[in-house]
Amino acid sequence: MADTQMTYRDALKEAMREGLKRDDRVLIMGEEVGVWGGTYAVTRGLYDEFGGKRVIDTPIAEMGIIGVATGAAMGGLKPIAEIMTINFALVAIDQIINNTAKIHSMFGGTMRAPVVIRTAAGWGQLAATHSQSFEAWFAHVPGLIVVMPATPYDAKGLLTEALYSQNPVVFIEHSRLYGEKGMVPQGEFRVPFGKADVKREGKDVTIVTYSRMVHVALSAANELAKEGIEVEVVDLRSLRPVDWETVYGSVRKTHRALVLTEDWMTYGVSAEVAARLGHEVFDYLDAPVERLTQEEVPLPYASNLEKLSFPDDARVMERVKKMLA
Amino acid sequence: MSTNVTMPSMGFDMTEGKVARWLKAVGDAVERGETIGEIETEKATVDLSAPVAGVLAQIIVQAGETVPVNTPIAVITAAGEEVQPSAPQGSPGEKQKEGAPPTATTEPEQVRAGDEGKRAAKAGEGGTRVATGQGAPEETAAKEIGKQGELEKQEEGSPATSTVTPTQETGGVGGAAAKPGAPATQQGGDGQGDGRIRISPLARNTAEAEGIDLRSVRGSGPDGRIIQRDIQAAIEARKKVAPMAEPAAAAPPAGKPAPSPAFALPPAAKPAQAPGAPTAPAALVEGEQPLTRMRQAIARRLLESKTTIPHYYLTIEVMMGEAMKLRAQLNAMAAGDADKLSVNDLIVAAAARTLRKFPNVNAYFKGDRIELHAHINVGVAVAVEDGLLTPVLHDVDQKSLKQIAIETKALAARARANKMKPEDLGPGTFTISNLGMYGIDEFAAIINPPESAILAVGAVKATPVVVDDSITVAQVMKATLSADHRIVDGALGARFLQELKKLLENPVNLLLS
Repeated sequence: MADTQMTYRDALKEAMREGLKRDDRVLIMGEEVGVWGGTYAVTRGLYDEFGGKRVIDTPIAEMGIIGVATGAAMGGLKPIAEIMTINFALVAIDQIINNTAKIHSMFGGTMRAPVVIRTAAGWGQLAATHSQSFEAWFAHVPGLIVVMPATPYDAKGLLTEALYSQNPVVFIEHSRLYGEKGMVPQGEFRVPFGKADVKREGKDVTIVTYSRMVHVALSAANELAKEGIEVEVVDLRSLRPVDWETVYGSVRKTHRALVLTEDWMTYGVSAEVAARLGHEVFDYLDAPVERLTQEEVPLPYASNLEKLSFPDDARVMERVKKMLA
Repeated sequence: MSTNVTMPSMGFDMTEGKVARWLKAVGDAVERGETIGEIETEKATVDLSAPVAGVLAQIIVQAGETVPVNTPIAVITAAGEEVQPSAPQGSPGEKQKEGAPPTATTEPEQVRAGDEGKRAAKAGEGGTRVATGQGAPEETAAKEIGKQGELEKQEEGSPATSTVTPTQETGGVGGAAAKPGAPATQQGGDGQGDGRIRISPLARNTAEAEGIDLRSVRGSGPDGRIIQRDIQAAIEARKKVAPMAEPAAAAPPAGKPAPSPAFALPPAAKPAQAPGAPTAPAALVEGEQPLTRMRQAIARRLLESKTTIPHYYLTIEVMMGEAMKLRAQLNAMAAGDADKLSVNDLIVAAAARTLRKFPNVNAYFKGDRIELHAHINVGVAVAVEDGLLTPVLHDVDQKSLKQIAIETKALAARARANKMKPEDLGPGTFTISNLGMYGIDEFAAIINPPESAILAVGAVKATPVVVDDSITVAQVMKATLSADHRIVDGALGARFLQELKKLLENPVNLLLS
C-alpha cells in the first residue's frame, strides 16, 4: 500500500471516516461539524456519507457537548466531540476535568468514558480570547490522555489510536497545520500514545517540541546545519503520557536541551520538560535547559504583533547559537 | 559531619611529626585519598592524605609546626554542608586575619577552637555541631572560610595552587586564595563573591573521571562556567605532557623479568596520588607543558638534594661473570616467572648485605648528629607514566634472593598501577638506580634526601680486561656510588664499594643469609 501525500486536515478526516465505517459506535458531534462540514473543513463530506445520526450538529453549548458525549461514552458509544477551538474548552472545562477525566477512577473502574475530544489550538488575528494554547492544563490532569500531532501522518495515526482507546483523549490539532502536507500510508494504521518521534537527528543540541513548533524547529535546524550545528528535533507527539526515555536519550547524547513550545512559559509544558530533564539527566547537561515559548502576553490582534509573540526560525537559531557559545 | 585529620603515625618508632606544608587551603574541596599536605618525620617526608571526601574546613596545625602523633591537625567537613559566608560573631582569629603577625597569635585561637570541639563532644553531642552561642569550631571555621573566601576573591586573581603562600603564615583559617571547590550548580546567579567553581554537571563528571584538577581549568562558558569543552581541552593538554616526558619514563623492554629501575632522580617515597593531574594554568603557550604533581615533587626534591648535600662520586668496575652464571642457574630452577631473578635483584641483595657492614652508608644526616638505621630499606627506582617513583623494599638484608625478586616485581607493578601501599612509601635508607638496560655504561645519581648515598648501576658489557697479564673478555659492570661527604668519607665509600664488588664477584655468598 503506497503512501500518498495528504493534508493534515484530510488525514484527520480519513481517520474518522475509517472509524465511522469500522465501528458503529463511533459518532461525531460538535458545532458546524455536519452540514457545514466543520469550521476548518475537517469533517466535510462525512455528513453526506454517514448521515445525521453519525455526524451531529450541536448547539453552541460546549458544556453540553462534552456532557452529552461523556454520557454517551459511558453508555457504550464512541463519540468524537469537537470543541471548535481550545479556547472554547474553557466553557466545558468542568465537564472535561471533573467528569470525563475522572469517571473511570471515581466509579472504581466499573465505568469508562472513552470520549475523543477533538479541538484546535491556533491563531490568526483572532485576538486574545481566541488564540490560546491550553494543552498544559489538560496534560496536568491524571485520567486524560493528551496528544498534539504535528504532521498528517501523526494526526491520522494518533486519531485512529484514540478511536481504539478505552480512555478519554484530548486530541489537540492546530489551525495553522490543517493545510500542512505530508506522506501518509493508505489504509488504517495506528501511532501509539506515549511515544515521541525524533523528527531530525543531530548531536549538538536537542530541541524538545510538538505541534506547529516542530516545523519551526526543523526549519531552524536546516539553517543551523549550514553553519555546522546539528540539531536533534524530538517531537513529543504525546503530552500525556510523555515518552521521557526518548527525550532523555537525546539529551544524554547532545548535552544541551531547548524546549520549544507555543504555550506560555510560566507553568507551561516547557516547565515540566525542563524539570524532568534537570532531574533525570542532570549529569549529562553541559548547560542549563533552555525554554523558548510564546511571549508572556495575551495574544495581540495586530498581525505584526502576533508574529512577534511566537518563537520563529530566527529566534530559535539565535537561542541555539547562544547555547553553544 | 566533621572528620579530624590527625598527625599520622608512619613509622615503627615515630612519636611526632612536622607539618612540612599544606597543599590545600581552607575551603578547598578534597577527595578521599587526595594529598592535602606533607608530613615530615625524622626519616622521610610523606604525603598526607585526606581520610574522607569533603571540604577542608580548618587547618589546626600550621606548616612548620611539630606535634605528637595522633594530634588533630586539620578538620574536613562534609561536602554540601553549607559554608555560611555570614559575618562571624566574634569568632576567634577573624579580626586578626588581615595583616596579622605569623602563627603565634592565631594559633592559640585554633587550639582553643579545637578544645571547644572536644568539650562539646564530651558534653554528649554525638556529632560535632553544638548549638552554643559561640558556635562549634567547625561553624566558626566555616564562617571564617566564607568571609575569607569573599575577601580573597576580591583581593587576588587566580589561585596559587602549589606554593605555600604568605597568607598561610598570616594564618587564621583563611589560607591561600584558592577558590573553594563546592559545586556551583544550585547558585547560578550568585555573583562574584561566593568563590564557588561554576561548572556544568557534565564537565564536573568528566573531570572527575579523567582526574583533571578543576583549579587549573579556566571556564569558557557563561559567567566563566567550566563546560565540557574546557575539560576536553585540559585532557588534550595533558596528553601532550606524557609523551614528552624523559625517555626514562618509558615502559620496560619486554622479556625482562625484573622491573625497570629508571634514571635515578627519585623523590623520597613520594607517590603521586592523582597521577598526571596538571596544576598549571590552562593558558599555555605552544611548546609549553604543565607540570604534573609528580614532576613538581621530583623537581623540588632534586633541587633540595643537589643544593644541600655535598655529593661526591666513586666508580668501581665489577666482574659480573659469576653473578650472571649464578643467576642463570637459579632462573633455570625457578618455579615461575615471578621467581626469576634480574641482575638488579642481585645488586639489591648485595648492596643490602654490604650496608649491614657499613652502617654509616645507611644513615641520615641530622644536623648535629648522624642517625644510623636499624633497618635496611632499599628504594628501587621505577619508571611510571608521568615520571619516577622510588618504592621501598623493607629489611632487604633479611630477605632471600627469591623474596627480593618476587617482592620487587610486585612493588614495581603496584607503583606503575598507582596502587602503592603505605609501607611502599618508605621510609627508605638507601636507593639503587639501574640504567643498564638502556646501555648506559655508568652514571652518577642524585642522592634521595634524607638518605646518605645512592648507587647507580650501568650495563653489564663484554669488555676486554687484563687478568694475570693477559687480555681476556669479561662481563664488566660499572657501579657509581654518590655519597654525602658529611657522613660518608671517601675511604668509607671506597670500602663500601670494595665489599659490594667482592660480594657480586663471589655471588654464592648471596645465597647465605
